[in-house]
Amino acid sequence: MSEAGDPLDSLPAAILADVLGRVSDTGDLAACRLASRALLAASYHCPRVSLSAAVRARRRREGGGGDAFRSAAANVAALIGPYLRSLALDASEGHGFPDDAMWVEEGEFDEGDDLHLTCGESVASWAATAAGPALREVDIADFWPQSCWRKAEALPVISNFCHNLVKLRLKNAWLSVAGLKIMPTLTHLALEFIRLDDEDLSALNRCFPCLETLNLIGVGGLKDPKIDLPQLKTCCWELFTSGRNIRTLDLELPVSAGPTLQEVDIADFSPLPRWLKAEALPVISHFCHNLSKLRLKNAWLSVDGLKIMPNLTHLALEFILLDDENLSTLNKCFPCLLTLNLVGVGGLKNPKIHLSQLKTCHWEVSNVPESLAIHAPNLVYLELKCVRPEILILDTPSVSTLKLTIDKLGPTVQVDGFASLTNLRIESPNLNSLLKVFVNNREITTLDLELPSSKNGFALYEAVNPELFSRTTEVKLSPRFSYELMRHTVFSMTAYDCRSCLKKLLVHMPPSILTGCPFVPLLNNCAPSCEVTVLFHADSSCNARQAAASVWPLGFPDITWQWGTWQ
Amino acid sequence: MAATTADGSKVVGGGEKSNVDEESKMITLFSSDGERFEVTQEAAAMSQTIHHMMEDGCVDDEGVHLPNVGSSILAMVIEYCNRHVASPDEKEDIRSFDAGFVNVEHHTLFDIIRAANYLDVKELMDLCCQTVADSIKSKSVEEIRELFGIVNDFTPEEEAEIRKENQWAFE
Repeated sequence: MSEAGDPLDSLPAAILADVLGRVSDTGDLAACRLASRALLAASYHCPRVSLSAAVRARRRREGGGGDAFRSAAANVAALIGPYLRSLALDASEGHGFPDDAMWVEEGEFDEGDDLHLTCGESVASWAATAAGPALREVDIADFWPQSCWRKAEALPVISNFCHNLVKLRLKNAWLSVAGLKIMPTLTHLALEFIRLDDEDLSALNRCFPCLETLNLIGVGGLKDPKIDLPQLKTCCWELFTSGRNIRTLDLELPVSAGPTLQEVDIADFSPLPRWLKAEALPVISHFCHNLSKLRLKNAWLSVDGLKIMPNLTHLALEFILLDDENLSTLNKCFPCLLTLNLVGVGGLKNPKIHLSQLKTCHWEVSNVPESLAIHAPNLVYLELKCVRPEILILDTPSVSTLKLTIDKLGPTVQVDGFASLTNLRIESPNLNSLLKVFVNNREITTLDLELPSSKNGFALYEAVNPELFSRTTEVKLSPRFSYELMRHTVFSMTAYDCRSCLKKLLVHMPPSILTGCPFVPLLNNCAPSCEVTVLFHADSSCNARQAAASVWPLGFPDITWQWGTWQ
Repeated sequence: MAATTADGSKVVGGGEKSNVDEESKMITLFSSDGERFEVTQEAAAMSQTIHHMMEDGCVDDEGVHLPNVGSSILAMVIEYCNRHVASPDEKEDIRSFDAGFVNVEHHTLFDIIRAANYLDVKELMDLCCQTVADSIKSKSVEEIRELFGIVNDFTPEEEAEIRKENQWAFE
């Protein structure tokens, strides 16, 4: 510690620089520099700096000063120079305040240019300093109103000066690739909401040959794009195309890219794919032997030529029209799936999931398939949302958690086993029949009940009886169910004295709160020291809440009461 | 945290007391004030400094002397290493442990940082440096000084120079 008293003197300068790099925001760094000699000295070696136009603008409004955003970026890069490893510039919120140009000297420069961070001049101002070759990470989020109408040279300029860059993320820009140089050290590239003048991605493939991670989120300007990257491991591709420039939607992954990929996530842009069948699945199965996770969204998918993918353990198909009516090809070609999510998958007819290693399944299906079947002996978690299948077969003896949203059970229901079922959530207008099927003679310890949004409550009279809770230790009454239960005061339970082992109860209160507790019969059946959580509706008055919270516990002093809010 | 065994050596966390217990693969560490700690080799290897010494065969039966690390801080570092080695996959538990571990006075935190730096325990360095950084964020100059007990000794001229440079590059 210095004589004047700076405990930070006791830490080596390199460590203080590391700390400042984790602080990174230039405003905070400015405060550190004024607070401590040790931090001031370390600031010249700060490895990571981030500048936000919106944050700077707020500080100026609070009385701070500061040069234009673009020059600040250049100045800090020049100041730290060869020690700078990571630079993040964020102008995505503009100045954070419309028309905030009061600090601009008239005639000096166009205020609009100051927030065009991806233009060649702006990039060169910091990249051409001693920081350029030292930088390992660059993250630029441009200001879309300034960047969308003019092409920018950020990529070629960065490739010219930042020879050792490893990670690059550019957002909200129109980017040219003219003059782009090869960047052999770049392994991570993310382009988000970019219009890219590289229709087929050939410049990207040629100049970034060592990419291991590629994220293309909302990248437009593409036509027959192909990824050809031999070392690629992870690819996330979300297309937001106008549809006019994409003639073929061929999600091709050539031989060189395939074998190293472990995760692929592609979300296509609707509505184009609805009338254009894609061969993504067979192509991926042909080339990506080591793929373990695959997610495809918004597409019409063929399964012709689909090969077995023994390493695939996680598959998610969302809003897909699938040419595999009964899922037999899916079952055959993805035999080792542990997790399967089918959300909004159409084109199905009597689909049957038959996967021996499946552990988790989330299936949301329309009313089109007349029968649904799941044969999965090791399935532990099942979330099923359907309408009213005529036939429902759940051959899932190991399921411990079941979340079922269904209008009505059909005439043929086969739910064998479920010997391990302990956590059950049912959302249905026909609770009576469902509870008989899934609760009776089973040791359900956690029960969550809900009604669909369009429901009235008459079914509750038959459904809710004391036997329901006699072996349940935790009950959650979701909002609509709670409301109907209390509205109709379904208390045939008052005629029963059935001590339950209910240890936890959660109820959602409607907006208007009664003076007396509307679920007393439930409390009469709670175990001693039961924990009751009451969630008041956000619109309910404070007075009513306080009254309830002070009066209700008086009748049940042994219960532990907790209070919260829902909306 | 540490238990003293029959011969006066300390066992911190798991592990049998033994200098040469092949089955448990223990290693002896000596703090700067002469306290002795028995640690599993796996936990000790979280320190790249000690790990390289073990690999190079520089660790004899006597153990490793750490002249730069006092006993109270070494005990804490060992506790950290033992915990992270014992349950590396229980992320919630580890997060909770880490949060409690760094909830100490700043001078203790700085001591841990210096020890972790000397011992080259990267995860511990990351944790502690991030903690210091998080405590600095969004604070004013005065708040930072108060936080660390810093007495301002900048002259008005020095302060003016710093402010000028701040306006040019940082604000």
